[in-house]
Amino acid sequence: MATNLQFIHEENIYDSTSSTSVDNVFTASYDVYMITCNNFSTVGTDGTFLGVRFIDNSGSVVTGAEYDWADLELRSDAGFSDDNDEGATFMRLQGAFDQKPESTGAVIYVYNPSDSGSYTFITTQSSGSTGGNGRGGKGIGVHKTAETVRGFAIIETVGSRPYDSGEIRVYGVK
Amino acid sequence: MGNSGVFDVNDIRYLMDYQQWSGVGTLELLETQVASSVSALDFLILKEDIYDLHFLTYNNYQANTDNTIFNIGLYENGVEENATVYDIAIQGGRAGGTWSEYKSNSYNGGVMSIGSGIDNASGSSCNGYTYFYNLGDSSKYSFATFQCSYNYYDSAEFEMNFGSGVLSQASVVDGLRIRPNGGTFSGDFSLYGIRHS
Repeated sequence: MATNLQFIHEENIYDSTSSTSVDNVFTASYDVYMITCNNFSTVGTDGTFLGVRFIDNSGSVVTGAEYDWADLELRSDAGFSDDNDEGATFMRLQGAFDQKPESTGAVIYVYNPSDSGSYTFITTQSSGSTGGNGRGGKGIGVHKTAETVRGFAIIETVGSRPYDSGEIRVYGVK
Repeated sequence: MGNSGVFDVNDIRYLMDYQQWSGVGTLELLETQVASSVSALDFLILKEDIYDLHFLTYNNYQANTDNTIFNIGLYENGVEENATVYDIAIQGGRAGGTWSEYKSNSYNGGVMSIGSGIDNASGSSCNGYTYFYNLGDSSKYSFATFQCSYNYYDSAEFEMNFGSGVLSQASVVDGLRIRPNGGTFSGDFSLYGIRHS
Protein backbone atom coordinates (compact mmCIF):
# COMPACT_ATOMS: atom_id res chain seq x y z
CA MET A 1 0.00 0.00 0.00
CA ALA A 2 1.22 3.46 -0.84
CA THR A 3 2.44 5.47 2.08
CA ASN A 4 2.67 8.91 0.57
CA LEU A 5 3.06 11.10 -2.46
CA GLN A 6 6.34 12.59 -3.57
CA PHE A 7 6.09 15.80 -5.53
CA ILE A 8 8.09 15.66 -8.77
CA HIS A 9 7.10 18.44 -11.12
CA GLU A 10 4.68 21.29 -11.73
CA GLU A 11 3.69 22.86 -15.03
CA ASN A 12 1.56 25.99 -15.23
CA ILE A 13 -0.22 27.14 -18.38
CA TYR A 14 -0.66 30.84 -19.00
CA ASP A 15 -0.79 31.08 -22.80
CA SER A 16 -3.07 29.62 -25.43
CA THR A 17 -2.11 26.08 -26.40
CA SER A 18 -3.64 22.73 -27.31
CA SER A 19 -0.84 20.57 -25.92
CA THR A 20 1.42 20.78 -22.87
CA SER A 21 4.39 18.44 -22.64
CA VAL A 22 5.81 17.32 -19.32
CA ASP A 23 9.03 15.46 -20.06
CA ASN A 24 11.54 13.55 -17.94
CA VAL A 25 9.27 12.88 -15.00
CA PHE A 26 8.95 9.08 -15.13
CA THR A 27 11.94 7.13 -13.88
CA ALA A 28 12.63 3.76 -12.34
CA SER A 29 12.12 5.31 -8.91
CA TYR A 30 8.37 4.67 -8.93
CA ASP A 31 6.03 2.16 -10.53
CA VAL A 32 2.97 4.36 -10.05
CA TYR A 33 2.57 8.09 -10.61
CA MET A 34 -0.26 10.47 -9.86
CA ILE A 35 -0.91 13.38 -12.20
CA THR A 36 -3.28 16.13 -11.17
CA CYS A 37 -4.80 18.55 -13.68
CA ASN A 38 -6.60 21.57 -12.38
CA ASN A 39 -8.07 24.83 -13.53
CA PHE A 40 -8.09 24.19 -17.29
CA SER A 41 -10.30 26.62 -19.23
CA THR A 42 -10.58 27.18 -22.96
CA VAL A 43 -9.83 30.39 -24.80
CA GLY A 44 -13.13 30.25 -26.68
CA THR A 45 -16.61 29.29 -25.63
CA ASP A 46 -16.72 25.88 -27.30
CA GLY A 47 -16.08 22.92 -25.05
CA THR A 48 -13.43 20.25 -25.31
CA PHE A 49 -11.86 17.37 -23.38
CA LEU A 50 -8.48 16.71 -21.87
CA GLY A 51 -6.46 13.88 -23.36
CA VAL A 52 -3.20 12.12 -22.54
CA ARG A 53 -0.28 11.11 -24.73
CA PHE A 54 3.06 9.74 -23.63
CA ILE A 55 6.59 10.86 -24.44
CA ASP A 56 8.88 8.03 -25.48
CA ASN A 57 12.46 7.51 -24.41
CA SER A 58 13.79 9.63 -27.25
CA GLY A 59 11.74 12.61 -26.17
CA SER A 60 9.07 12.41 -28.85
CA VAL A 61 5.38 12.70 -28.07
CA VAL A 62 3.74 9.48 -29.23
CA THR A 63 1.08 10.62 -31.70
CA GLY A 64 0.59 7.32 -33.50
CA ALA A 65 -2.46 5.10 -33.20
CA GLU A 66 -1.07 3.29 -30.16
CA TYR A 67 -3.70 3.96 -27.52
CA ASP A 68 -6.91 2.28 -26.35
CA TRP A 69 -9.23 3.99 -23.90
CA ALA A 70 -12.70 3.76 -22.39
CA ASP A 71 -14.44 6.34 -20.24
CA LEU A 72 -17.94 6.61 -18.84
CA GLU A 73 -19.24 10.12 -19.38
CA LEU A 74 -21.27 11.28 -16.38
CA ARG A 75 -23.64 14.10 -17.29
CA SER A 76 -25.73 16.15 -14.92
CA ASP A 77 -28.17 17.06 -17.72
CA ALA A 78 -28.65 13.90 -19.76
CA GLY A 79 -28.10 10.17 -19.90
CA PHE A 80 -24.58 8.87 -19.42
CA SER A 81 -22.63 7.52 -22.36
CA ASP A 82 -19.92 4.93 -22.85
CA ASP A 83 -17.11 6.46 -24.85
CA ASN A 84 -14.13 4.53 -26.06
CA ASP A 85 -11.66 4.06 -28.88
CA GLU A 86 -9.10 1.50 -30.00
CA GLY A 87 -6.05 2.41 -32.00
CA ALA A 88 -6.49 6.02 -31.00
CA THR A 89 -3.92 8.79 -31.02
CA PHE A 90 -4.68 9.84 -27.43
CA MET A 91 -6.58 8.73 -24.34
CA ARG A 92 -9.52 10.97 -23.48
CA LEU A 93 -10.99 12.15 -20.17
CA GLN A 94 -14.71 12.89 -20.26
CA GLY A 95 -14.81 15.75 -17.75
CA ALA A 96 -15.49 18.32 -20.47
CA PHE A 97 -14.79 22.01 -19.98
CA ASP A 98 -14.91 25.35 -21.73
CA GLN A 99 -14.33 29.01 -21.00
CA LYS A 100 -13.81 30.46 -17.53
CA PRO A 101 -15.53 30.32 -15.03
CA GLU A 102 -16.10 26.78 -16.26
CA SER A 103 -13.06 24.53 -16.08
CA THR A 104 -12.06 20.99 -15.22
CA GLY A 105 -10.09 19.00 -12.70
CA ALA A 106 -8.73 15.48 -12.96
CA VAL A 107 -6.60 12.89 -11.21
CA ILE A 108 -4.73 10.43 -13.42
CA TYR A 109 -2.77 7.44 -12.20
CA VAL A 110 -0.03 6.08 -14.45
CA TYR A 111 1.24 2.51 -14.10
CA ASN A 112 4.53 1.02 -15.31
CA PRO A 113 5.83 3.93 -17.43
CA SER A 114 9.49 3.05 -17.07
CA ASP A 115 9.13 -0.68 -17.69
CA SER A 116 10.36 -1.27 -21.23
CA GLY A 117 8.73 -4.69 -21.32
CA SER A 118 5.23 -3.57 -20.39
CA TYR A 119 2.47 -1.42 -21.77
CA THR A 120 1.76 1.76 -19.79
CA PHE A 121 -1.69 2.06 -18.25
CA ILE A 122 -3.77 4.87 -16.79
CA THR A 123 -6.89 5.17 -14.69
CA THR A 124 -8.65 8.51 -14.65
CA GLN A 125 -11.33 10.50 -12.92
CA SER A 126 -12.40 13.94 -14.00
CA SER A 127 -14.99 16.58 -13.27
CA GLY A 128 -15.73 19.60 -15.42
CA SER A 129 -18.38 21.95 -16.61
CA THR A 130 -19.38 22.98 -20.12
CA GLY A 131 -22.40 24.78 -21.46
CA GLY A 132 -23.69 25.21 -17.94
CA ASN A 133 -23.77 21.48 -17.26
CA GLY A 134 -21.62 19.29 -15.08
CA ARG A 135 -19.62 16.60 -16.83
CA GLY A 136 -17.62 13.88 -15.19
CA GLY A 137 -15.61 10.90 -16.31
CA LYS A 138 -14.27 7.67 -14.95
CA GLY A 139 -11.99 5.83 -17.29
CA ILE A 140 -9.05 3.69 -18.26
CA GLY A 141 -6.41 3.84 -20.96
CA VAL A 142 -3.40 1.99 -22.25
CA HIS A 143 -0.44 2.76 -24.46
CA LYS A 144 -0.19 -0.56 -26.28
CA THR A 145 3.48 -0.50 -27.08
CA ALA A 146 5.96 -2.16 -24.77
CA GLU A 147 8.49 0.60 -24.26
CA THR A 148 9.73 3.03 -21.67
CA VAL A 149 7.93 6.33 -21.58
CA ARG A 150 9.61 9.16 -19.75
CA GLY A 151 6.91 11.83 -19.82
CA PHE A 152 3.50 12.77 -21.09
CA ALA A 153 1.54 15.48 -22.82
CA ILE A 154 -1.83 16.84 -21.77
CA ILE A 155 -3.81 17.90 -24.82
CA GLU A 156 -7.26 19.17 -25.66
CA THR A 157 -8.73 16.53 -27.89
CA VAL A 158 -10.72 18.56 -30.42
CA GLY A 159 -7.49 20.16 -31.57
CA SER A 160 -8.90 23.58 -32.37
CA ARG A 161 -10.17 24.68 -28.97
CA PRO A 162 -7.05 25.68 -27.05
CA TYR A 163 -6.87 26.35 -23.32
CA ASP A 164 -5.02 29.23 -21.71
CA SER A 165 -5.01 28.22 -18.07
CA GLY A 166 -4.22 25.09 -16.15
CA GLU A 167 -1.90 23.46 -13.67
CA ILE A 168 -0.36 20.03 -14.03
CA ARG A 169 1.42 18.32 -11.18
CA VAL A 170 3.22 15.02 -11.05
CA TYR A 171 3.76 12.87 -7.97
CA GLY A 172 5.46 9.59 -7.38
CA VAL A 173 3.39 7.20 -5.32
CA LYS A 174 5.52 5.64 -2.62
CA MET B 1 15.97 31.59 1.92
CA GLY B 2 19.67 31.76 2.53
CA ASN B 3 21.35 29.24 4.81
CA SER B 4 24.72 27.79 5.65
CA GLY B 5 23.80 24.35 4.39
CA VAL B 6 22.49 23.19 7.74
CA PHE B 7 18.76 23.48 8.44
CA ASP B 8 17.64 23.99 12.00
CA VAL B 9 14.10 23.37 13.18
CA ASN B 10 13.02 26.94 12.53
CA ASP B 11 14.41 26.80 9.00
CA ILE B 12 12.45 23.65 8.29
CA ARG B 13 9.26 25.02 9.77
CA TYR B 14 9.64 28.19 7.73
CA LEU B 15 10.16 26.21 4.56
CA MET B 16 7.27 23.89 5.37
CA ASP B 17 4.97 26.89 5.79
CA TYR B 18 5.82 27.95 2.27
CA GLN B 19 5.77 24.43 0.82
CA GLN B 20 9.47 24.58 0.05
CA TRP B 21 10.63 21.70 2.24
CA SER B 22 10.65 18.55 0.19
CA GLY B 23 11.83 16.23 2.89
CA VAL B 24 8.35 15.37 4.00
CA GLY B 25 5.38 13.78 2.31
CA THR B 26 3.15 15.78 0.07
CA LEU B 27 -0.17 14.70 1.49
CA GLU B 28 -0.75 17.03 4.43
CA LEU B 29 -3.35 16.09 6.97
CA LEU B 30 -5.46 19.15 7.63
CA GLU B 31 -7.86 17.60 10.08
CA THR B 32 -9.32 14.32 11.26
CA GLN B 33 -12.73 14.30 12.85
CA VAL B 34 -14.71 11.52 14.44
CA ALA B 35 -18.45 12.08 14.23
CA SER B 36 -20.82 10.47 16.66
CA SER B 37 -24.55 10.79 16.05
CA VAL B 38 -24.39 14.29 14.60
CA SER B 39 -26.60 15.86 11.95
CA ALA B 40 -23.71 17.73 10.30
CA LEU B 41 -19.92 17.88 10.47
CA ASP B 42 -17.87 20.85 9.29
CA PHE B 43 -14.33 21.19 8.00
CA LEU B 44 -13.53 24.88 8.15
CA ILE B 45 -9.74 24.87 7.87
CA LEU B 46 -9.09 24.17 4.21
CA LYS B 47 -6.07 26.40 3.56
CA GLU B 48 -7.66 26.92 0.16
CA ASP B 49 -5.22 29.74 -0.55
CA ILE B 50 -2.41 27.15 -0.46
CA TYR B 51 -4.00 23.97 -1.78
CA ASP B 52 -6.03 23.74 -4.97
CA LEU B 53 -6.53 20.01 -4.59
CA HIS B 54 -7.99 18.44 -1.45
CA PHE B 55 -8.53 14.80 -0.58
CA LEU B 56 -11.15 13.59 1.89
CA THR B 57 -11.46 10.05 3.17
CA TYR B 58 -14.45 8.68 5.02
CA ASN B 59 -14.46 5.45 6.89
CA ASN B 60 -17.25 3.69 8.71
CA TYR B 61 -19.91 6.29 7.89
CA GLN B 62 -22.93 4.87 9.66
CA ALA B 63 -26.36 6.39 9.19
CA ASN B 64 -28.52 6.40 12.27
CA THR B 65 -31.64 6.67 10.12
CA ASP B 66 -32.52 4.23 7.37
CA ASN B 67 -32.66 5.36 3.71
CA THR B 68 -30.79 8.65 3.99
CA ILE B 69 -28.44 10.28 1.51
CA PHE B 70 -24.87 11.22 2.38
CA ASN B 71 -23.94 14.63 0.93
CA ILE B 72 -21.04 17.06 1.14
CA GLY B 73 -21.98 20.72 0.81
CA LEU B 74 -19.66 23.69 0.46
CA TYR B 75 -19.20 26.92 2.35
CA GLU B 76 -18.68 30.24 0.57
CA ASN B 77 -17.34 33.06 2.70
CA GLY B 78 -18.36 31.27 5.84
CA VAL B 79 -21.92 30.55 4.72
CA GLU B 80 -23.10 27.10 3.77
CA GLU B 81 -24.40 27.00 0.20
CA ASN B 82 -27.58 24.92 0.12
CA ALA B 83 -29.38 26.40 -2.86
CA THR B 84 -29.96 24.46 -6.09
CA VAL B 85 -26.62 25.49 -7.56
CA TYR B 86 -24.85 22.13 -7.74
CA ASP B 87 -24.61 19.79 -10.72
CA ILE B 88 -24.17 16.15 -9.85
CA ALA B 89 -23.73 12.95 -11.86
CA ILE B 90 -23.25 9.55 -10.23
CA GLN B 91 -22.95 6.03 -11.56
CA GLY B 92 -24.28 3.38 -9.22
CA GLY B 93 -23.71 -0.35 -9.47
CA ARG B 94 -25.23 -2.97 -7.18
CA ALA B 95 -23.95 -6.43 -6.44
CA GLY B 96 -27.25 -7.84 -7.62
CA GLY B 97 -26.67 -6.48 -11.10
CA THR B 98 -28.63 -3.22 -11.14
CA TRP B 99 -26.79 -0.24 -12.63
CA SER B 100 -28.24 3.22 -12.24
CA GLU B 101 -27.54 6.80 -13.26
CA TYR B 102 -28.24 9.51 -10.73
CA LYS B 103 -28.03 13.07 -11.98
CA SER B 104 -29.26 16.60 -11.39
CA ASN B 105 -28.61 20.03 -12.84
CA SER B 106 -30.12 21.79 -9.86
CA TYR B 107 -29.08 19.87 -6.80
CA ASN B 108 -29.05 21.46 -3.36
CA GLY B 109 -27.36 18.64 -1.48
CA GLY B 110 -23.79 19.48 -2.37
CA VAL B 111 -20.91 18.76 -4.68
CA MET B 112 -20.71 15.13 -3.57
CA SER B 113 -23.63 12.80 -2.98
CA ILE B 114 -24.34 9.13 -2.96
CA GLY B 115 -26.97 7.86 -5.34
CA SER B 116 -29.37 6.01 -3.08
CA GLY B 117 -30.33 5.61 0.54
CA ILE B 118 -27.95 3.95 2.99
CA ASP B 119 -28.86 1.00 5.12
CA ASN B 120 -28.58 1.85 8.80
CA ALA B 121 -28.12 -1.68 10.06
CA SER B 122 -25.37 -2.30 12.56
CA GLY B 123 -22.12 -3.07 10.78
CA SER B 124 -23.29 -1.46 7.57
CA SER B 125 -21.27 1.59 6.55
CA CYS B 126 -20.19 3.82 3.69
CA ASN B 127 -16.49 4.10 2.87
CA GLY B 128 -14.75 6.10 0.20
CA TYR B 129 -12.91 9.21 -0.86
CA THR B 130 -13.48 12.52 -2.61
CA TYR B 131 -11.11 14.85 -4.44
CA PHE B 132 -12.00 18.56 -4.44
CA TYR B 133 -10.61 20.81 -7.17
CA ASN B 134 -10.05 24.52 -7.25
CA LEU B 135 -11.87 25.47 -4.06
CA GLY B 136 -9.91 28.66 -3.52
CA ASP B 137 -10.23 30.29 -6.95
CA SER B 138 -12.81 33.09 -6.82
CA SER B 139 -12.98 33.29 -10.59
CA LYS B 140 -13.88 29.69 -11.34
CA TYR B 141 -16.25 26.91 -10.35
CA SER B 142 -15.31 24.21 -7.84
CA PHE B 143 -15.40 20.52 -8.70
CA ALA B 144 -15.31 17.10 -7.07
CA THR B 145 -14.76 13.49 -8.08
CA PHE B 146 -15.53 10.65 -5.72
CA GLN B 147 -15.88 6.91 -5.23
CA CYS B 148 -17.50 5.00 -2.39
CA SER B 149 -19.42 1.88 -1.47
CA TYR B 150 -22.24 1.17 0.96
CA ASN B 151 -25.23 -1.05 1.52
CA TYR B 152 -28.42 0.10 -0.17
CA TYR B 153 -31.16 0.38 2.44
CA ASP B 154 -33.60 -1.89 0.62
CA SER B 155 -32.50 -5.47 1.32
CA ALA B 156 -28.99 -4.22 2.21
CA GLU B 157 -27.72 -4.81 -1.30
CA PHE B 158 -24.10 -3.77 -1.69
CA GLU B 159 -23.68 -0.74 -3.97
CA MET B 160 -20.76 1.21 -5.32
CA ASN B 161 -20.88 4.79 -6.60
CA PHE B 162 -18.48 6.92 -8.52
CA GLY B 163 -19.31 10.37 -9.66
CA SER B 164 -18.58 14.00 -10.18
CA GLY B 165 -20.01 17.26 -8.93
CA VAL B 166 -19.78 20.95 -9.65
CA LEU B 167 -20.60 24.06 -7.67
CA SER B 168 -21.79 26.04 -10.68
CA GLN B 169 -20.85 29.48 -9.50
CA ALA B 170 -17.48 31.16 -9.22
CA SER B 171 -16.54 31.64 -5.59
CA VAL B 172 -14.01 30.95 -2.88
CA VAL B 173 -14.98 27.82 -0.98
CA ASP B 174 -13.74 27.95 2.59
CA GLY B 175 -15.49 25.05 4.22
CA LEU B 176 -16.99 21.59 3.75
CA ARG B 177 -20.08 20.26 5.46
CA ILE B 178 -20.81 16.56 5.75
CA ARG B 179 -24.57 16.39 5.89
CA PRO B 180 -27.15 13.69 5.31
CA ASN B 181 -30.57 14.64 4.04
CA GLY B 182 -32.05 13.56 7.34
CA GLY B 183 -31.21 11.97 10.65
CA THR B 184 -27.77 11.72 12.15
CA PHE B 185 -24.58 9.84 11.37
CA SER B 186 -21.30 8.64 12.79
CA GLY B 187 -17.95 8.05 11.12
CA ASP B 188 -14.29 8.93 10.70
CA PHE B 189 -13.27 11.68 8.30
CA SER B 190 -9.81 12.92 7.32
CA LEU B 191 -9.14 15.91 5.09
CA TYR B 192 -5.79 16.38 3.35
CA GLY B 193 -4.25 19.09 1.24
CA ILE B 194 -2.05 17.86 -1.59
CA ARG B 195 1.20 19.78 -1.62
CA HIS B 196 2.71 20.79 -4.87
CA SER B 197 6.14 22.15 -4.11
